[in-house]
Amino acid sequence: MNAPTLTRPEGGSTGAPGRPSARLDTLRSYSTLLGMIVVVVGIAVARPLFVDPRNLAAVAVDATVLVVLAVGLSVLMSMKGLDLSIAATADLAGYLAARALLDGLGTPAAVLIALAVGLTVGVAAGVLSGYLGVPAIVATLGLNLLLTAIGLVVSDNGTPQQLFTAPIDLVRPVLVFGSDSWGPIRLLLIAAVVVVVVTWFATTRTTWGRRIELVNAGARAAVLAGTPVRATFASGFVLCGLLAGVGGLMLTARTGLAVPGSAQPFLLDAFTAVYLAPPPRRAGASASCGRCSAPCSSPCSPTGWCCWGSARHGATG
Amino acid sequence: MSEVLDPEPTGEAAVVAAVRGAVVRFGPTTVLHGVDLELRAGEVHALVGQNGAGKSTLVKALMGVNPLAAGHVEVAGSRVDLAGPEDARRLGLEIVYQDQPLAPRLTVADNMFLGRERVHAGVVLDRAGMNRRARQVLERVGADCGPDDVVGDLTPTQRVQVSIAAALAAEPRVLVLDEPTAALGAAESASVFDLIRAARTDGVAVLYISHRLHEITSLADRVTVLRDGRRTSVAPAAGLSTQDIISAMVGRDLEALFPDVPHSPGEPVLEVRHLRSGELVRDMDLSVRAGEIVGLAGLVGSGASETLLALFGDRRAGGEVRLAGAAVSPSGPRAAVRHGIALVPEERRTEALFPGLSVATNLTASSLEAHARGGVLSRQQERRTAEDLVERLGIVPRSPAQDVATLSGGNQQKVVVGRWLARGGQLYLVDEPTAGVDVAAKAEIYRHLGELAAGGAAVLVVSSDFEELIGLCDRILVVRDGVVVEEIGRGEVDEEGLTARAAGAGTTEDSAAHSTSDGSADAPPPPARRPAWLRQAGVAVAMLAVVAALVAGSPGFLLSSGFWDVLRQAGTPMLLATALAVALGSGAFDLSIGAVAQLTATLSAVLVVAGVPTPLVLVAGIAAGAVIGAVNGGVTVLLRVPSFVATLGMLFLLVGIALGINGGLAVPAETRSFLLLGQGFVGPVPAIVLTAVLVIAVVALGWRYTSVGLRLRAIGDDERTTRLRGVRTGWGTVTALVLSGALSGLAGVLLASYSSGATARDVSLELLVTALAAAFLGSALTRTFLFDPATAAAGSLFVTATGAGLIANGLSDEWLGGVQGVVLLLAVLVAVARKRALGQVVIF
Repeated sequence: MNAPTLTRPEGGSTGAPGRPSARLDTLRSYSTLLGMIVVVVGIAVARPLFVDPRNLAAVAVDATVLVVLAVGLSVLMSMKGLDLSIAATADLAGYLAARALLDGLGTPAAVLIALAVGLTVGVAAGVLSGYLGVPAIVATLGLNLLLTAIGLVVSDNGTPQQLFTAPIDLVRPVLVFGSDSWGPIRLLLIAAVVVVVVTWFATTRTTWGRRIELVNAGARAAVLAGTPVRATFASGFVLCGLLAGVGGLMLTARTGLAVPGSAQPFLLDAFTAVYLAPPPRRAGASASCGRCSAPCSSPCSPTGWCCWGSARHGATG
Repeated sequence: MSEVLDPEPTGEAAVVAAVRGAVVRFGPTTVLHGVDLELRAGEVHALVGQNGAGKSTLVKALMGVNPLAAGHVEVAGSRVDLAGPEDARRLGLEIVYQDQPLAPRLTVADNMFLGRERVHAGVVLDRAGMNRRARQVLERVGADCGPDDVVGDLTPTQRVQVSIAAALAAEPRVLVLDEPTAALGAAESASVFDLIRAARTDGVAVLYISHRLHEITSLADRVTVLRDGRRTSVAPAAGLSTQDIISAMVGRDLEALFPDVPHSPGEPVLEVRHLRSGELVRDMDLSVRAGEIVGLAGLVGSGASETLLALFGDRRAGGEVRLAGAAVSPSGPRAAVRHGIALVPEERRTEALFPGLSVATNLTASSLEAHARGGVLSRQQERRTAEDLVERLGIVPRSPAQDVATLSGGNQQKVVVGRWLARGGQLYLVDEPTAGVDVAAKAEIYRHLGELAAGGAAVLVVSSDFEELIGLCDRILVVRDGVVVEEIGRGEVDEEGLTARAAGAGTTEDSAAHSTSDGSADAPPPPARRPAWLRQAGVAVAMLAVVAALVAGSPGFLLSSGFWDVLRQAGTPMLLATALAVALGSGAFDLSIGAVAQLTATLSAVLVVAGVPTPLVLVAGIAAGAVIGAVNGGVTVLLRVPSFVATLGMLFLLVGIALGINGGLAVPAETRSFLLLGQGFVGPVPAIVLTAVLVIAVVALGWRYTSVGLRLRAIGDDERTTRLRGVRTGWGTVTALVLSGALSGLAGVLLASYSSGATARDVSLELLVTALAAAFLGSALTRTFLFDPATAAAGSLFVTATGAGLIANGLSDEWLGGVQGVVLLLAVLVAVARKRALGQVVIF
């Protein structure tokens, strides 16, 4: 199946350069950033408490799961990949980790289970889309349906796993991770920052990151340049799945509760965050991020995600 | 220059179109400086110049694509203002672009008439008339394809023929041909020249652009030369030599086109025996020595280009390949690169370059490991390599940070060659080294290839420009039907002779030794192609088999009332799948369909409770959906926000509005007349089924048999091509999203009636996911994998039936979605497994 092209190429109908629309184009390219500022200012005006430092800190913590999910998605989408299964993966990973804790298997086993779920789903999606040719949207849609069903079955139709009512010895490390701080900074926030920094480095400074750029710029050309295109593309799904597993674990740690479906709202939020993340791009300009030469949807600009998380928090909180 | 070419001659034929004093500016840069061009009836007018001379800019000004800062266009003696290509086409100006943009998944007839469809009653496509006319023109141009053939299945020659046929079908007064033979060999080009001569005889004014100068001297009546955005002269072609034209283009006498770089053959580097690959490479034997340039001369389809790809591991191949004496298996490009094989591919823009990335990144793309330690790139090392290569190859502009897409064709080709120099290799496979490259850059590229050989590398070149092979290569191997049939040494053949041998017209005694009596080589017959209908039928049969298995397990679920129950359940999902297929099929993504349905379901329930009559509720639901679709379309087209993002934002907004309306509570709607929509019957047939089927049938018929449908499908297949045909693609996108919204609105009203009200639960994502599954499943049922409303509805019916069947067979509700997911994956896997393309989806 040919990969469907779902949108116009940028600047495809701009006509000749030098037209009066140039200024409008510039305005358009900054519209995302302007829109985000307007939203944040609007919320701050409507609810002044929103800009209170304590609230902003809470907002940042609230956004950590979203940041981790969106980092994985941004790497994948910078190769024209897509993962509709991240929320279901996070749900299942968080749920199975919580059950492992409550079954007394210990924290290391719970963490490994969450990571294993993410890795398995990522590998499955990578093989389907990278090696067998199933369009990413279909492959991960199918996996999303399957994982949701598995989540319902293993949870006996959605029975929650409550960590905060369990014996504290069983769940202490996870609850500490979800609620404690290192100095003034919450551990969840540190974890999210580590994920961002490591992924930023990997995508901008390593041969793997360069291969991602090449696959994005032209998969066929990358094949004929000797790039392992299928493996690179599949690795995006693996990273996405792994980070979904991490995100699920963080969500469980933060809420002290694991319920199938609780990560579902993050799916569309993550897409929105990835779209908000890149800096303004000019039609026909380099696909590199203007600030750091990262792929288009680089994890180097978490501002967009935090703003989005803030906006959600402000709007719903 | 003026010594070579005469001043503007006086012609007797009427001037049918002209550009007078054309000035074109791009920002602060003036790229055309007051250029004149006159096109006369029954005359072939060649336009030549180096890359960047302004040829394309001038042609686009003539076609109304580039606005003129000064000067004007005249057609039939009258001054005209052209707002775009559609205006030019209306006035009888037709253009065939270099890359022959055609919508690959539409038929030949669809492509030929796209943008000027023949219709009955202003709406319905006159398919019979279009096919008849298409057949006439295709016969006239000697094309061996039919109106119903899918363009994606055509050979390069057929694509050129179809492009020219499409232009001629409009009976133009001016025909502009922009390098129509760039992808063709000499023999294939001959049939194109015949077409051009026939058009000239018919009184058409032909403007012909080509870098192949011998074509100009043999075909054109008059030649205009551009240099640096200025017309340097216009003169009759008679009496001009290619050297005269080169001097006029370059502004000086060029040194030898084929520089003499001394190199002498050494030990064999590549030895190939009985190489087989696909249908075209049947039994290739060849060898190339170190320090030697060998050419493969063959017509399009001879297997020459495919041989290079097979040796590079890009195509599955069998046979014996030895590299520097060691047997190697061309298992893939990565393995080939590791063995020191380099490929300069035929399609520079799509197969070699990384547009949007810098020259430096392009240069080091194949040697990343050499520029990294422990996987971490050394930017300093990369910069040093790039600067060295830019200097050594004379790449202009000199900045390695420049976007490679902004370079001229010749400089881009130097970047591709430089990429392999950065890596180092012992065998260079070079396909069409100078396609689309101007004459000065050609000489430089020939020099670089000579230097590669002088450095001890083996170079194997494929080119459709036989003059190039004769001037460049130490030996030429003639390839016919996937077999090397003859070997020719340097200076033993001229272009005409080589063309004849490649076509098999002058089989020599020597070559006869390699060939069978019928002129084709003694090679195994090519494997038969699997027809598309077999794949389509396979998916359909697989779907029916699944349903049959479910019926066997629980006969009740599709018999008697069970059948109608499944159809009733499928009513709303089928409408939503249809809505999504319309959007996807038009190249737009509508994530908001489920949210629209949820909102209109809530609205309907509220209106019913408020006592609004059912017909008005129905109209309100459809209208609300259409308005939302219009907003989606406006944001997508006017603000150029990707439809994926625009409709994602709309999804959030609508979910919020629905929540605001129902206050988080279910809204029951019990009015009898309203409930009849979703729960009533017309005879034995449920009303909801009747409504859905009627609406889907109308949409599907419109999709397939109206000009609007054809244009939407064309936009979804290839937006650029459709735009170049004068179709306003922005309006097409808006139309598709309005239709998608209206269908979703209707689905919401029916959902509220079927469920006796609106639920408080957010089901927008659920509805979307089911529709997505159905739309993709449906696309696997079409001939060319296009999204289609009817097959999407069929996919939706299958998904619903599978769900009902699984439950009837005792599956728990919890597993239902999972099984549907697996079925979706398996169905699509069956469809794509053979091709195994990368599963990319272009969204941003």
